[in-house]
Amino acid sequence: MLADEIAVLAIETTTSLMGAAVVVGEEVVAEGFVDKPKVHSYRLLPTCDRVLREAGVDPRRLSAVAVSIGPGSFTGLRIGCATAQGLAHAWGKRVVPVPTFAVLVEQARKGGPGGSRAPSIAAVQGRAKAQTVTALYSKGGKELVPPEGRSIEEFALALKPFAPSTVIAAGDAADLFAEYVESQRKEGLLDIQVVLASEGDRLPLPGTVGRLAVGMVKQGLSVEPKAAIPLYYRKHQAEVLAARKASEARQDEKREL
Amino acid sequence: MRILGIDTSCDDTSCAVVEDGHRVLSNVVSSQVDLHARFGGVVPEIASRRHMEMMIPVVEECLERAGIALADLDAVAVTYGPGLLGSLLVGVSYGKSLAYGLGVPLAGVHHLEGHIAANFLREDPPPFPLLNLVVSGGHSDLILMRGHGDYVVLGETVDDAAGEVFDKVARELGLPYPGGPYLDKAAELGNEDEVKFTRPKIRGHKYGFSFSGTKTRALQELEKRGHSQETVRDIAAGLRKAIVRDLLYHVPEILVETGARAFAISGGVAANSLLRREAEKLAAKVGVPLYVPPREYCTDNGAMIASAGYFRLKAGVVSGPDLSAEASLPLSSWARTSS
Ligand SMILES: [Zn+2]
Repeated sequence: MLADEIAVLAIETTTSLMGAAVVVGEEVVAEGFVDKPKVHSYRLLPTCDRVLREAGVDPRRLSAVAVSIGPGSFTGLRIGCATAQGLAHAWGKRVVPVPTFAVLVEQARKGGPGGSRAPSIAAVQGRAKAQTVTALYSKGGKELVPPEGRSIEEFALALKPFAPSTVIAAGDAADLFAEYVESQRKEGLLDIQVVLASEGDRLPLPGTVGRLAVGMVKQGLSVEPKAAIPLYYRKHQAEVLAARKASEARQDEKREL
Repeated sequence: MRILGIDTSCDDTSCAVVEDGHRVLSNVVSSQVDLHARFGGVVPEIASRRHMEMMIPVVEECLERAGIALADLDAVAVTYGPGLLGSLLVGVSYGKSLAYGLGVPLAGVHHLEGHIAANFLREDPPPFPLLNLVVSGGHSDLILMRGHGDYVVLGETVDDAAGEVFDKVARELGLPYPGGPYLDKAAELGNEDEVKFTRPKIRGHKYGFSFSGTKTRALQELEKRGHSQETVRDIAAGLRKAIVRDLLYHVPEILVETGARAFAISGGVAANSLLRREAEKLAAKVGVPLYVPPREYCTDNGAMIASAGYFRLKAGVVSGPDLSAEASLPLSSWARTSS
């Protein structure tokens, strides 16, 4: 490894797949991940330790710590970000906050033959209804429908202007989205064909996070550890209800006046 | 040995630097009270998010106040349960990664062990065996401590925790959030014998507690008598008297039976003025010293976690990088079970 090459430790925890990778220059030198729910908290740090050892990279030599900052599972995001914060804080490094949808687009673009004809990529993360975030990108990574907390049904509606077309779906709720759009298509309501990203590319991988992070380091896109905060794209339900109550109260006040 | 103690088990982001388990160099608590006040209670997702934002700022303020750098830390101690899972995960993930990154030992601490350790944040520690009454919004436990890491749980609540009842009733009485301290103040002005509460019977638990009946009765009285200031004060006073009576009911007997050489109270409710007064009277009567932490170490704080972590590490108990958060951490996992 050359002394001036960019090296990052990358963390991915936004879905049921959690892991870490060491990327040096263009190359994923070591990568470890497992697709298993509820193991993130106790397996992430040991995985970071293992990939660093496998890569033979001294943490002091790292350019930064990279983390997939969402959208995704709220709990997963916090485990990833808090781990990145702790490591970067201890090592005196900066954090590269990699948008998870950029990771999905990168993987889907290079994905299998099924998707090669499709002009756009649908990113769908968050299997829990209250956590679902969706977006549509061109193959070049241009935002066609910006990321936002919306249901799969709302997302399908937002795709109407793009029909007829074929869309590659990636993310941990891609299958739920594909199922729904297919049912709409059969009923003649939405002329969009969804192709699922190939299994190995459907969930964000730590190696891809690291490769994107190297590019971001070059562009100076890193933050202080304390600013490595998840991108949720969704308020908590309690906040939503409170905001609604507050606005209703304001309405009532107005009526009384 | 300088230890950074972290607690994110509920709604406060707390950190402290403690030297040799008892000298507090700094203690910082970022309260989320304002954030949760409009919901009348802690909203777990909101708490987790705020912990995530406050973790490093709180640690940095803590180090600055202690006048040391990260590199001067000899260990990290962090609460890993019980508590709100999402909140715990932030502290655990950050804390263990920090320890790993610094190359210093990590101590995973049980939150209750932390509350007990609050009484060891002093030059002259309490003697063993020590009878502990830990009372907070989440716990009401009587624990005999025979040495560091050697606990016997003698009694716990079969339903609500004492602090939980104070908070719940305070809310219904229309007192500000969080209710415990306001109920205490209101109670000082009330007639404690106006509303009487009978002692609950608890089957099968010799030294157990039960507070749900007391809570129900307070709410029924409120319904019946209305919300006048006088009534609010009288119900607060009566409820406080009943809960303190029940908390201390078996203590003299246990002190004698176990040969405990001191009595200690800790946890958020240890800040309750009547509990302090009554515990003092009781200890004087039995002839043992009473230990109560200063108020800032009664509520959740990082100092108590650093202290508990110190004694764990001194005993050779080190946590690994696979330490995880446990929402319900059974007492048996760290204490010897009651016999
Ligand atoms: Zn507590």
